Amino acid sequence: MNRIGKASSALMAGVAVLALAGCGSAADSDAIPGASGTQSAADLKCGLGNGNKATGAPIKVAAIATESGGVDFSSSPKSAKAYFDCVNDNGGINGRPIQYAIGDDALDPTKTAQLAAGYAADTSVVAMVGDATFVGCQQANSEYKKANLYSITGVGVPQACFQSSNIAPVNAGPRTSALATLQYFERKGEASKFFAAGLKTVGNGDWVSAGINAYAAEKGIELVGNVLSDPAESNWLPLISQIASSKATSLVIADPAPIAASILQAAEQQDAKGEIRWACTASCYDAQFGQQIGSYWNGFIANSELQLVNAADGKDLNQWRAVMAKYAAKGAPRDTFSQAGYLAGKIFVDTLLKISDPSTINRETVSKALVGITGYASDLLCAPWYYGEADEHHANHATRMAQVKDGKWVSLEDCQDVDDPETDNIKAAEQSQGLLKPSA
Amino acid sequence: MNLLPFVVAGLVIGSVYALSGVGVLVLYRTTGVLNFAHGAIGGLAAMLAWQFIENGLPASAAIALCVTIGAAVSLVFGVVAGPYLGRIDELRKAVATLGFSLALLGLMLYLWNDKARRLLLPTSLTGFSVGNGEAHARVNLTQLICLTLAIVVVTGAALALRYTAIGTAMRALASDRELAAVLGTSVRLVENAAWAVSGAIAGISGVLVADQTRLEPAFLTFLVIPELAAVVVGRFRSLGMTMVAGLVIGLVQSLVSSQPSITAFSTAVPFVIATVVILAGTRRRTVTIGVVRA
Repeated sequence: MNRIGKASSALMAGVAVLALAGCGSAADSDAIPGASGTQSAADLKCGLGNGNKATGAPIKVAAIATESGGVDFSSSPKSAKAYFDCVNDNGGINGRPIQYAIGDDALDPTKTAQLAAGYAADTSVVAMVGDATFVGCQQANSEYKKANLYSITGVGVPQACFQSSNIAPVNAGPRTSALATLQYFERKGEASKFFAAGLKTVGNGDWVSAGINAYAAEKGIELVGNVLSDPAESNWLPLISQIASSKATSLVIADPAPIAASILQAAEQQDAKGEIRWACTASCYDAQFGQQIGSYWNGFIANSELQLVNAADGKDLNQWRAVMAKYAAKGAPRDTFSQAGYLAGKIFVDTLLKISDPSTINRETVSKALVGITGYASDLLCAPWYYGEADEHHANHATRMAQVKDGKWVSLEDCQDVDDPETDNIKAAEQSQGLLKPSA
Repeated sequence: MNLLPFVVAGLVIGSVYALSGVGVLVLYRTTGVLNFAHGAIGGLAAMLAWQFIENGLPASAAIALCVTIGAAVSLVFGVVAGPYLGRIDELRKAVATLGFSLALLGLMLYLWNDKARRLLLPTSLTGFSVGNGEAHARVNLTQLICLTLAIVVVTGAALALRYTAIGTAMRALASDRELAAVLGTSVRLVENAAWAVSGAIAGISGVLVADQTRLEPAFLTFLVIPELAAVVVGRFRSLGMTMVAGLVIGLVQSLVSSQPSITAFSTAVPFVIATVVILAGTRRRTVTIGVVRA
C-alpha cells in the first residue's frame, strides 16, 4: 500500500472510531425520563412466576415487524421477546418454553407476504404475537386466514391492520389518536376552528384525514384546514403559512415524529406558534421527541395510546419496566410501542396458561383460545381488550393525553373514549356480544 | 398572500443546491465521476453533527469536525476506488458512487434510529425581520450564511481553478487526463484533492440543509437529485451557471409550493427546469471535436 493509501486507511479508521464513539450514548433510552414508579423483585414473576426455567418442548411463536428500510418498528417484538424470556425463566407455559422468531419485512409488502406465508406454512408456529409491520397487514392477513393463524399485533398503523379478520392490534392507531386529540380540544372548548395536517399516504394519511372530516361534519366543528403533505416534502413554509392564515384555534399533526419535529422547527424559525394550541398524534409521544423540540414548544400536546411510560405505579407498567431493565438490550426503546409488544405477549401468555394440559397446545387450540379472549384488563389500557371473531379489530379506542413540560412528557388528561363514526359497529358488538366481560 | 417568506426560503435552499452543485461539478470536472453519494456524505456529516452536539460538543467544533469527516470519507472513497474508477466509463463511475451512497445510507440507518431529532444551529436562533406589514419574513443568521457561503465558494472555486497551481492542474485533467499526466501533472494527487474538497462541501451543505429542512438520513441522501439538476443546467461545466441554476431551482420550487393549486408539483421543479434547459440547449447544438487517439 502506498503512503496515501496508508494515511487514508488510518483516517478512515479514525472516522469510524469517532462515529462509533459518538453513537455510544446515542440510544441511551435505558432510563425512562421522569419515571416515578417503584419496581421490586415481584415484578419479574412473569407468567407462572415460579422461578424455574422451562425445559419442555418449545412452543413456536413468531412476529413480523418492519425493522429496516427507513422505519424501525421493532420496539414491539423486542419487548415481547424480553417478556417471553422472563416467562421462560418462570416456568414457561406450564413447563414449555416459548421459542420466539422475529421476521423483518424491510418496509416491503412483498417481503411481508413471503414471511407471513412461511410462518403460516409452518404449522408448529401456533400464533403471531407482537407484530408491527408498517406496510403488510393486508398481505399478512390473507395468508393467516388461509392457515387459521391469528396475530395479537403490538402496533398497527395503516387502516388494513384494524380491518382484518386475523389481526388484532393492541394499540389504537393513528386515526383514533388524531380524533382523540381533536376531541380533547373540543372538551376544552378550543376546537372552534380546527386544523389537521398529515401525510399523503394511501391507506394511512387519507384514512386519518377522512376520520377528521367525518367527525367534524357530524359535530359541526369548523375545519379550517385538513392538509396532506408529500412525504418527501422539504419546505414546510406553505403549511405554516396556511396554518397562520387559517386562524385556527387548535391543530393536530398526524405525521411520523421526525417530520412533526421538522415542521415544528420551521414554525419556530418563523415564530409562527401564535395563539394556536399545537398537538400531535401518538407518534410524537416519545421521550426523544420531548427532548428535541426545545423550550419554544413547552406545552406541546400529544396523544398516548397506552399508559404514559413514566406514570406512577401500575402492575403491568411496573412489570414492563422491570422486564425491559432485566431482559431487553440496553438500547431497546422504552416507548409506547414497547409497552404494546409487552402487552401483546402478556395477553398471549395469560391465555395459554388457561389451557390446562400443555401437551394439547397447537395452532388449532391456540387460535380458538385467542379468538375467545374477552375483557382482558390491564393498567396499560383504558378499557378491556378482546379479540372476538370479526372482520375488523379495534379494541383499543380509549386513550390518554400528555404534554411536554421542560423536555419531559407529563399527564394532561387520563382515559377518554374516542368517538369515531367508523367504530360505531365495533362498539355495538362489544355490548351485544359481551366482549368487555372477562371470559370464564 | 405574503410571498416574502417563500422567496427567502427558496433562495436559501437554492443556495445550498448551488453549493452542493459546485462540489459535484469540481469533482466531475477533475475525475469524470458524477458523485451520487454527495447527498449521503452530507447526510452523514449532519447526523454526526447532531450526535456530537448531543454529546456536549460546542456546535462550531461539531460542524468543523463533521466537515472534516465529510472530506475524509470522500477522500478515502476517492483513494480506494479512484484507481479503478479511472479505468471505466462515466456511466459505470456514476453507478459505483450510487453504490457508495446506498452503503452510507445503510450505515446511517444502522447507527441512528428513526426517532425525531433536529439540528438547530445557534445561528438559527438569531434573526431579524425583513419587509413590513403584510409582506414580511423572518431571516436568521444560518440563512444568511447559506447565501454568503454559496457566493464565496463559487467565487473561490472559480478563482482557485484559474490562479492556483492545483486549480490549473484540475483544469488540465478536465480537458485531457492523459495529456496532463504525460506533462507531469500528478493525477492521483489532484484527484484526491478534488475528492476531499468535494467531500468538505458536501459536509457543510448537509449540515446547513439539515438545519433548514429535515434531519433524516434518507431525505438528505436523496437531496442529491435537485443538486444534480443544478449541475445539469450548468451543462457539467460552468460554475456560474450551476450557481444560478441552484438558486433558480430553489426559488421556483418554493414559489410553486406557495400556490395551493400547484403545490403538489413543487418536487418536480428541478426536473422540469433541467429538462427545459436540455431541450432548449439542443436547439443550438455546438459541435465539439475531441482529440482522437489510436
